Amino acid sequence: MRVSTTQIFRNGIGAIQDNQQGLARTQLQLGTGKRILSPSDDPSGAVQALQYRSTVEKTEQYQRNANLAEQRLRLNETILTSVGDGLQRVRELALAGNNASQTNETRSYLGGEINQLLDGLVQLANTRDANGEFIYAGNISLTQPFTVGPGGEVIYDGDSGQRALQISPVRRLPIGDNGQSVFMDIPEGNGRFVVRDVPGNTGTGVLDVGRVADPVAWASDAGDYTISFGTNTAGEQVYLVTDGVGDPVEPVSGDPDDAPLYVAGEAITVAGIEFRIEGSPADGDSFTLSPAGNQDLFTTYRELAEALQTPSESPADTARLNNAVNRALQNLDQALGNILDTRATVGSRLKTVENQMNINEDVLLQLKTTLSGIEDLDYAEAISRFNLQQTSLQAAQQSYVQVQRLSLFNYL
Amino acid sequence: MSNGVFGIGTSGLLAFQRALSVTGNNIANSATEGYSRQRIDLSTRTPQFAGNGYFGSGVQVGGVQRMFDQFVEMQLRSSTSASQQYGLLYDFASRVDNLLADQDSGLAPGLQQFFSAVQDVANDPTSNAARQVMISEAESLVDRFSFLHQRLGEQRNLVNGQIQTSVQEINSLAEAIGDLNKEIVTALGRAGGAPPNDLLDQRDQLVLELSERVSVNTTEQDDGALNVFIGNGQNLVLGSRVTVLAAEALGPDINQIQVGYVSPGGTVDITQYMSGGRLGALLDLRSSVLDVAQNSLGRTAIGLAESFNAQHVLGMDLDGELGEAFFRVPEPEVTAGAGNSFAGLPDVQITDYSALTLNDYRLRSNGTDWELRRDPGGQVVGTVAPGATLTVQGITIDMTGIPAGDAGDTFLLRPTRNGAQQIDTLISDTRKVAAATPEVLASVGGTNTGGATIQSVEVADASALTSLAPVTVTYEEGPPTQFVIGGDTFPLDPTPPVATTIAYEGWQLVIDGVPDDGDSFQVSFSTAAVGDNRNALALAGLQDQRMMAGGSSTLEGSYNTLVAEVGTKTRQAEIAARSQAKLLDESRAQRESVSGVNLDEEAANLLRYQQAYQAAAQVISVTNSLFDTLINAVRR
Repeated sequence: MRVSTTQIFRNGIGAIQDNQQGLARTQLQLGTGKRILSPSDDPSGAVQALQYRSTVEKTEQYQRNANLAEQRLRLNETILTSVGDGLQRVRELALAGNNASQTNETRSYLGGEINQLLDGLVQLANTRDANGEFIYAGNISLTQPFTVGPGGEVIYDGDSGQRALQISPVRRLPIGDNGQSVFMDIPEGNGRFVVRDVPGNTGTGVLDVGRVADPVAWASDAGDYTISFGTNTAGEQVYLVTDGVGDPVEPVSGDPDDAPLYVAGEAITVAGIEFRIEGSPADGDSFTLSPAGNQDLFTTYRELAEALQTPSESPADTARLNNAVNRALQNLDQALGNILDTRATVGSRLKTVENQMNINEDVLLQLKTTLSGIEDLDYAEAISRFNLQQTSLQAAQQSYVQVQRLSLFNYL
Repeated sequence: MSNGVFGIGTSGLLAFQRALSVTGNNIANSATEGYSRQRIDLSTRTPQFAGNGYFGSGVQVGGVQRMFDQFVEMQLRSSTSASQQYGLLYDFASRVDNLLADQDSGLAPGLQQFFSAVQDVANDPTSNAARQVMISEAESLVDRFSFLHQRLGEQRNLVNGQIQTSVQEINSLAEAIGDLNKEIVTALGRAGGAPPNDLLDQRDQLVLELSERVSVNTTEQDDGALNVFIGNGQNLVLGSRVTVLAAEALGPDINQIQVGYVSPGGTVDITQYMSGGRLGALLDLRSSVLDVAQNSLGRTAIGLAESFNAQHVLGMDLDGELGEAFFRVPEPEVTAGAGNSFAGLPDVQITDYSALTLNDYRLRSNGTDWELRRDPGGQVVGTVAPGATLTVQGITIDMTGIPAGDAGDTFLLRPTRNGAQQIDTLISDTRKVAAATPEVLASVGGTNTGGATIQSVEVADASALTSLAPVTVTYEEGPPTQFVIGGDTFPLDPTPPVATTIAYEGWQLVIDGVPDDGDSFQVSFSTAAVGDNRNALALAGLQDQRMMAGGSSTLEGSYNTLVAEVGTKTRQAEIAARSQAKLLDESRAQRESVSGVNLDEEAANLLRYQQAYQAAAQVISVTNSLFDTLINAVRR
């Protein structure tokens, strides 16, 4: 093929320019450390990189969410521990108060300490987090959830909402419990039923805890019952059982002569429930049996403190005190159980958060590794390419100069 | 005889003088663009018979020929067209590509940051700071949308401007070719058929420059004129007659520069036939990159606005009110054709953002009905009668008040084109961010005397809630026995066990038993539940919801698809530009091989002709000395 002078020139310049372009590109790659300089270098890689980068940011957001969840859960755990400690102390005080060696004065000290602990409990229940939100207020989180009414009763103004945070694409984790479930909805008695003395009893009848002897019978007949004491015509002490609307249940006739005799410490069975009364109730004294409702922890504290601070002047007073303390002990145990359950839940959530954070950490590492594989430069390859391009540019320049020197006119 | 040798010597002198001048001209034009090297044709003069044979009588110049190959030239033109086309396409497309996939200016980081801010509101719904950040991120996301839209618009303006420039250049090149045709025809006639080589070179160079702008076809007439055709056979140059192209808005959109063919009957739109060259690249770029990119961005903006609003209005803000629209939802663009026989526009609404495509449409009357066609493309996607409505591909066209029109009346519909421009935030007050989900509560009136109780109350259909103001339900013994809310009544359901379900504006209340006359029940919403983050979680969840393009991709995914599409287009253009540049080099090399000047060759010719000239001079000198010899002999 014939070669024109212009073509020789063009070829030489073209080769130099091509080599310079390649060199500039490799230089830019080396400078930025990126394999993909513009998306069209590798369209699918560029889009993958976009997707991976977005997933990395999403995961980092989940990680921030998880951190926040962990803080909230730790705060919860701390508060619940304090509440549990307070409960233990109240329980000790209740046991101490039940001791016959206590005088009215020492008991009122005990009651005073319980009142102090009650104030502390209200404060704990109104704890705020770093953002100023009440952590036990449900969703009404800017309103103080627990307020003390004029009669000393504590009212809950929160709701039953529970905040959840997104800690992974598929996992929403509750980060707290509302005050209703922690402090208010605590079952009374032993959780199934509750027996209590009626205020104004003049005898010394003291109730025990009782048990469900026949679950099927209790399940079908669970209702309110009253056990009242009287005397039959033979002068023996008997007890009569009536139901919630006053109809006699035992005996069905309602006649004291048909009623069972009272023997101290012997089991009394009503609707599948078995309980004992110690001491000697007076005629006209009565006791109630009802299915367990809920009693909030504050009321339990307050009733116990009140019982301990009421001076005991007679055996009947002592019986009332004993009954009140026994009941309070049951309620305290229920509350302790509730707090422990809640703590266990918080603990398992914390565990979940920690696991998820570890998983997120792993995912992040993987994502970043993959992302780097997609868009980062293989330096070894790039540097050797750079050297090669440099050499070929030099060769092109040198050969161009050599060829340009060749001309027939030089010899004319 | 001596006369003959003199004559031969003189013919040689004259011929080699010409040959040296051709060689000199070649050397002088060795760097002239489009120059074809010339060669002198030498031939023997007619021999003379001198009794014992024919004796040559010298040399004569047959003509000057340019070294030129028509096939190679055509190859060069088509390579030039293709190379210019893909080179320019790559230039523009890579700008758009870099813009869209940029880590800082692209949409992907903006979307991500916005949804992260929504998550932060979910983490801490009462925090004013988190809400402020969410609103700010929304504003900057909206800014990103409009920034990208504007940058694409700037590219569009640039493209429109370059189309105009290209058409002007095509016109002036065509003019020049026409003029040259005239000169060449004259020159050929004057010289009795001897080609005016330099004029031909000039014309070929002009046609080559024309093919940089657009693909051309040529045919040569017998009289030497070159006819030039573009598109699918439109004649640009016929002999010395030149047809002018126009670059102006020929459709409903006054900003869309089209290419028109100006004929006596009017200007015909030939845009769709233009291919190759810079013009081809510009038109391709506009329809397959800029239109697609702006429509796709617009669709993402519409999807974001619609889906976010739909969830936001289900929520409750810090003031205990239902959420308001968070984003302004963009409106479809509707333009009437300039020649429509009546005034008025159909009402076009986006009714299903997930079914939206990236298409633009043309609504064209056939005299009785309106046909909806894709634009460009022209496939019919639906037909709607005057006054009726048509719902297709996510848009609803309401033709109320629009007559059948004359056949050819047209509307241009672009549902998504300006989406990225029009999306905006509507909420600036942090209290208006609806992070909570309304919780309905019910209570029994304090003065009730009957035993009716509330069995349950719940939000049955959050989208039907109209207000979170408390509502009182009163019982009337009537007859009929019924519950009353304002003017609405709900009859007591007497079938035992008596339980009446009252469904009202999205919530549902079940009342057990029969109340007394005048008993009331209050239904209210937990408006103080400021710590509720459920709606914020639902809003954040939209990021991962596949809601776009018929439920096949997320918001981010639909944007990524655009990045991939433009990236692929750019990649293709780059590869094509590279291979076309190689082909162009190849064609150039071929042309150079045939027509290019090689200085060494010319140097050799120079020497050759110089020596021949000296030899011819020597012939004259010898003849002269022969003559002297003879004279001297005679004189003696």
